[in-house]
Amino acid sequence: MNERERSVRGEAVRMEGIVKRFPGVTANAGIDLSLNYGEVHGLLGENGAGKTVLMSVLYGLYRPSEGQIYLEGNPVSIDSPAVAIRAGIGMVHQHFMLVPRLTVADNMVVGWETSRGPFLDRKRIRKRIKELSEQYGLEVDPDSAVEELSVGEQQRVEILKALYRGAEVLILDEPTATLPEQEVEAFFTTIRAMRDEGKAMVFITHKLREALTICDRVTVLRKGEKVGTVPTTDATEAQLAEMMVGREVVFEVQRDRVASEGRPLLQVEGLSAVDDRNVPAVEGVDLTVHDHEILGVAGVQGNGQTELVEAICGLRSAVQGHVMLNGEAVTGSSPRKMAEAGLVHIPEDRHRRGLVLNFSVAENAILGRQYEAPFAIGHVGQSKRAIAGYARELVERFSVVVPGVRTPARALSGGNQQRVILARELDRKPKVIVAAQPTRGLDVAGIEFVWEQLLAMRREGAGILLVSMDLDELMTLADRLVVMYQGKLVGEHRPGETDKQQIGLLMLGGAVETS
Amino acid sequence: MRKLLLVLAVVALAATVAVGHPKIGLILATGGLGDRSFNDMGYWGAEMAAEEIAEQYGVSVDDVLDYVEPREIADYEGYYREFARTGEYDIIVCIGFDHAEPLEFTAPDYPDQKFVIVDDVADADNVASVLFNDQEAAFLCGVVAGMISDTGKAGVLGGMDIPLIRRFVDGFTQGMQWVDADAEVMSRFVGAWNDPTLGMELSREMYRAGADIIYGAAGGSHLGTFVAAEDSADRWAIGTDVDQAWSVPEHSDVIIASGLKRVDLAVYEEIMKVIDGTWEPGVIQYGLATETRTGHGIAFGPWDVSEYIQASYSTASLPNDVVRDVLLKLDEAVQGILDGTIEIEVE
Amino acid sequence: MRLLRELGIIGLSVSLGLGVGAIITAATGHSVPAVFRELALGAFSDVYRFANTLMRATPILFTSLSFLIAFRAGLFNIGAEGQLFIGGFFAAWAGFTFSLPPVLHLVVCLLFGAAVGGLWGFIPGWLRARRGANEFVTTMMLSYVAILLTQWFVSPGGPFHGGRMAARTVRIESTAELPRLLAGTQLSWGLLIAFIVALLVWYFLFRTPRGYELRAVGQRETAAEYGGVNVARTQILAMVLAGVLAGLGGAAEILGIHRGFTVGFSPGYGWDGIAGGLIARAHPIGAVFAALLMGALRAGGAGVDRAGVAPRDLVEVLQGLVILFVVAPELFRLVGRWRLRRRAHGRAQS
Repeated sequence: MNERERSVRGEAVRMEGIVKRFPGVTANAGIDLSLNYGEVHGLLGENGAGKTVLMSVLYGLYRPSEGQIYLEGNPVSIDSPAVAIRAGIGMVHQHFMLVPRLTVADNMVVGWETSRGPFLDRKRIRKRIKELSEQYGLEVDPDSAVEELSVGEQQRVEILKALYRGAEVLILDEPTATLPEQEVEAFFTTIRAMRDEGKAMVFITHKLREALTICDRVTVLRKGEKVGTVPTTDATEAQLAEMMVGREVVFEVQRDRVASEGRPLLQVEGLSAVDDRNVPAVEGVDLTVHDHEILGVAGVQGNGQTELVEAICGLRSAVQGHVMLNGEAVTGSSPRKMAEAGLVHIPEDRHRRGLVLNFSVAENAILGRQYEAPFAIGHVGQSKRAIAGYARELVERFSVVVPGVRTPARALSGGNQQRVILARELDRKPKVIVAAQPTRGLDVAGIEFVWEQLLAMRREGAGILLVSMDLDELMTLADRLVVMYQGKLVGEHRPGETDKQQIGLLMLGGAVETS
Repeated sequence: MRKLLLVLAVVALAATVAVGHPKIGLILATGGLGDRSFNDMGYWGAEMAAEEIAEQYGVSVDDVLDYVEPREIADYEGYYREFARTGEYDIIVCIGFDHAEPLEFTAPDYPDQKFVIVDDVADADNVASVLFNDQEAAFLCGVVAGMISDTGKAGVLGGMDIPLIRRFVDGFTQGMQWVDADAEVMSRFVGAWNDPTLGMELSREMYRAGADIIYGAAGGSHLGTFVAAEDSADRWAIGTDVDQAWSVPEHSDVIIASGLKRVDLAVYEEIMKVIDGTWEPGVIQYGLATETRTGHGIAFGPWDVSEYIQASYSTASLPNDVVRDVLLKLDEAVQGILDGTIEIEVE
Repeated sequence: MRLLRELGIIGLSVSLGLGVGAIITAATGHSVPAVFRELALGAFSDVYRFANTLMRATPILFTSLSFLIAFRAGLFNIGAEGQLFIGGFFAAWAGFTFSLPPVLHLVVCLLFGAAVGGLWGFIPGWLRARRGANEFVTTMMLSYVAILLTQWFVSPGGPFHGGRMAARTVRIESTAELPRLLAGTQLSWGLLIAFIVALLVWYFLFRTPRGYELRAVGQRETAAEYGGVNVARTQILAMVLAGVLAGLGGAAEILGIHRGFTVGFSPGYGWDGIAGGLIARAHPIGAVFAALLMGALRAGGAGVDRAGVAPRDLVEVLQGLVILFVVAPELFRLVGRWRLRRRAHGRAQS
């Protein structure tokens, strides 16, 4: 069967009335979905809308409670990923399923051809990888170890792996979530190439603009139900957002620019720090955050932002330099001292830093204040009542959706987890907020909430250092913008006076050579 | 003759009354049964007595003898209480010196219960403590080593570095030097009674250092000595407590002698004393000079030692005249110990 | 509800373990009803036997608490056996060295055992927190150090040998003895101390700021650090407490039962504590029940041994099976966690 035939053959997958129940939750409530060859089909919805569950059903990770799947019109039962792969369905997960130590070529075959026989024809494998990468513009060296590859390259490997295993139907789970801005365009080129070859693709996302750019049709899910399927030619961002959230969403941030610079709250001078491998990651960074100000730090992930934030917040020792808070030197202070001095930190990794996932919401609500009255009674006691009461108050004020404060934080959605962190940190009435990627992985409503909170703090006089990979976010929120590249800050801009392309160039080091 | 009388008595008894039969409680040492040595001998002694009693009362041995193999010293006290609190046992026999202290503070709780401890003294009014002149057996083994060693060097593998085992080392050394004043005796301690692997390593070390005979005084651990002896040419071993050429037949070709400690006879003796009403608490010392109802020296007689030499002779292929010389020398040593011309010094 | 489910799982696991044990018993030609009858009788048939069960459970409760308090901080205290030994030895040392009035002497001895046990926990805790040394290895190594050191102390020729045949110290003063709870049994007041300590551990873990911090470190070091917790200090504290608990257990055992330090006083209570802590799902109150289960197995095992219905090796197999089945689910989780930690560690290194 040649490519032409396949693309005209029409429907690749049809899912009918898919219901998936988990104890206490119905993740999918009777969803229909049709996917054609030669189509990129967007699957849009907020976190927890049931997108990933639906696709996990298709990929054989979950069995549907009800409903039927048809492949090319024939009813099938997909019991496991192995069945799915044999049927030509591939999935690229949000978190890559690659073996870091192995080479690209080895990753193609591990668990697949290794189970077929004792001998591997490496030459043939390499040749096939080469063919596939040329065909779809998926450039990657088959002999390099996966752990040495960038995120974008690893993603290409994941896609190659699916193609290598003969996928005609590809499920891409939030593929752009981890991609740097610059690599998105190249990735889209690949997607288009695959579409032209007749592949059927499901593109899971919650980014409206991307959905409109790359998809042919979009199916929107909300709270486990299908809201509708629309061709992108007829759709607008606002319309899709309304479908997702169930109400109108305002994206334009109402803000009053501060005319003159205020009092400096956070001053960083000549700060240098090393990463976990003892390699210099931050080199001589100077920055100042004033009151009523949001200073944005843009940059491609891995250019020292994490280390910069940790060094400022007392989580990493500085090799050199000073940090001043409200005029006082606080370099090298512990996180506890920092918080007491008025600096709070919204960490980039909710699961690693921001929350103790197995602790209850109540216990998490006092993380960082566990030794303070009324939560602590001296050194010898802890008031469960005070803690629970405080947690309930926060939950209410910050509209956290949670069954009760004794629920473990693990059970909360990403957006609600972030609300808990924001509630806890902002309730300390900080002078300075260091927010690292505060909206990463959040859905539209979640992003809106975080933005509102940060702007409210700014209005009240706080100085905010906002580190983000999302250039749109920075352009919207920041009063001033600096770019971090290879451990150094390059260029300072006011969002109104520059454009994305220029910043993008700086993020890739473009300006370093010229300056 | 005695046996015949006993049998007649039993028949008479069985025919007339069916009274409650005596019971024996036996608590072994942590090494447990199967050491083919100390614990097994204690068991045989108790079993021998139990058989006699069982026959006498027309019951089975299992009815008469209850025994336990404690895993740890921690178990001892629990077993004393477990046996004693029933009041059923005419005597409770504790095998091994590490019973001494737990028994010492538990026995007074049961003043009517008779206890026997083998190998150390437990100071209580209802305990009989059985001791052996181990240094005498060790001395005789040293004599054998002195006669047979080519290198003039021998070793002792001890279970633990404690006074009891020191007596083995001292007796052996003096015995060997009584024959050959220049003889050299080295010693190693395993630190456990049931680690034949380490016993083998330490024995190999001594064999390599020139010892051609090793005297094992380490319970189950010196089973490793026999293995080590098998591995090297012209290396011999001397066993302990029981004739190990017989109890460990797979190594009989390297075991040239065994120093006996007739724990079996001592246990048997103490039980039978209870049965015939002559039992008394206190310290009982068994040695070459001790005469008992079983007819020959309870610890080891010249007859015993020579018998082992002879038994080992065919398999260990020692020349005839060597065996004869050894026997003559042993006889001389035994006479010397009995008449006091040989004094064995121990710490 | 969760408790009921856990209890159900444990009940099922015990039955499974005994079931497999029954098959092995039958296959090796022993009477299944006789063995199980003696197992039950040995642990529960009368006051004396039940006291035996409680007596066995006492040190296991201490070492279970020791394991679980470190485990709650994300650390593995594999060295409770050694801490038990060293704590027991120094309690005995204080018992035969000092001359003090009755109650005071006992308290001093217990504190000595706890303190030296704590030191034995401090060393691996410090090495882990400040030098990154794997506490799995260091606690195990130090455990051997403690066992061999005390063994040498009391063996003939060692500095604290009591002068008798056995490898033992002299007897402690009667003022230092922990009295028996029931006359004619081996059960001492150590049991009550263990219960109180279990409650204290529960209170500490779940009702104090330090306990909160300790659990936070155990759950997620990075999050605890972010929350202003001094991670290194908390890890050291957890290991010290683990050592204190095991050391106290050793002290109670020596002062209450043996009245002098002797090498063979523990049939592996420190190792039992690992199983106990895991069976308890690292909960101090659960540990009370876990220790009772293990104590009953040990006491029942002695019953089987005594009745002579099966060799003691078989009894040990039975005990091992029950523990294995009860611990297995937790063990898998543990191995998973261990591997995760190693991977995280590896990443930080590479």
